[in-house]
Amino acid sequence: MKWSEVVGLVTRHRFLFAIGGVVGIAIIMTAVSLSLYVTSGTSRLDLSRPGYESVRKDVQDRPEETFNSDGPINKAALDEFDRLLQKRRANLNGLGDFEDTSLDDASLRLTP
Amino acid sequence: MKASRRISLLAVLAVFLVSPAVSAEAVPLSDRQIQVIKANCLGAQNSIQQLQRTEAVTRVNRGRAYESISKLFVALNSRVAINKLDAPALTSATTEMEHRFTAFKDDYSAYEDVLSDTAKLSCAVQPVTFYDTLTHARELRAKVAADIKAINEMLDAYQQGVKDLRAQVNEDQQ
Repeated sequence: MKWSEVVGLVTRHRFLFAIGGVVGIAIIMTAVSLSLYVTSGTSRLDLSRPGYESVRKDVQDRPEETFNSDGPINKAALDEFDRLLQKRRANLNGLGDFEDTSLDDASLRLTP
Repeated sequence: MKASRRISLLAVLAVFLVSPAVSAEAVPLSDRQIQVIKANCLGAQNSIQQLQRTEAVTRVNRGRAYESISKLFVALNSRVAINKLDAPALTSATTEMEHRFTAFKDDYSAYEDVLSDTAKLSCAVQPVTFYDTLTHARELRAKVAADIKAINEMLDAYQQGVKDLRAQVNEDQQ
């Protein structure tokens, strides 16, 4: 098939080729997005996945007080900083630390 | 005859050289243990899937908390720099904390991958593979726990740096 014939074919079926091209581009973009979603590790943190409905409510999503990066360094400023840091550390202490026995043989009932 | 003796000797020698490495990798499971794994592994996989869900939330919440603390540190470090004070301990603890946080994220991803594999395996058909994967997941989980401890140490180091800064500010004001 000559180049002029290819051009003629495309020109005759412009609409069909346009739809095919759009679908092809959409498939490529989706494949790239999905591969980025998986390789970047976002998929592991995505709690909107099926099966995670019951735990979604446990995600902490409240606005927190911030510390101004501009201003003097004095007792009041350091007290304010300490207060904010202590609050965040107290929150951290309440979170799981991957040290419990959930994966032990006894917990999984794999002990003879 | 001599040749076959030599081959036998080499074979025995090879067994001695290879055996310790093999036994160090995994403790062989007894038949009784394999039977228990076959019988209970589906229940274990359910528990693992539940743990996966709970720990995904923990990972997200910890990540957000660390990012929030990191912003707090950057703000104070910036204020220290603007006020031309000397507090190298604060910047080094911040940098180290960032490194530890990256390690935490990477180690959690590796752990999550292996835990997913453990939950998906046909454990009744491959009980030994299931148990080996589970053992690997435990090792990776211990790494995540170690990362959390290391981050806590960095938080302590930063707080100590703030104490020193407080003493420096008090001295300057007197």
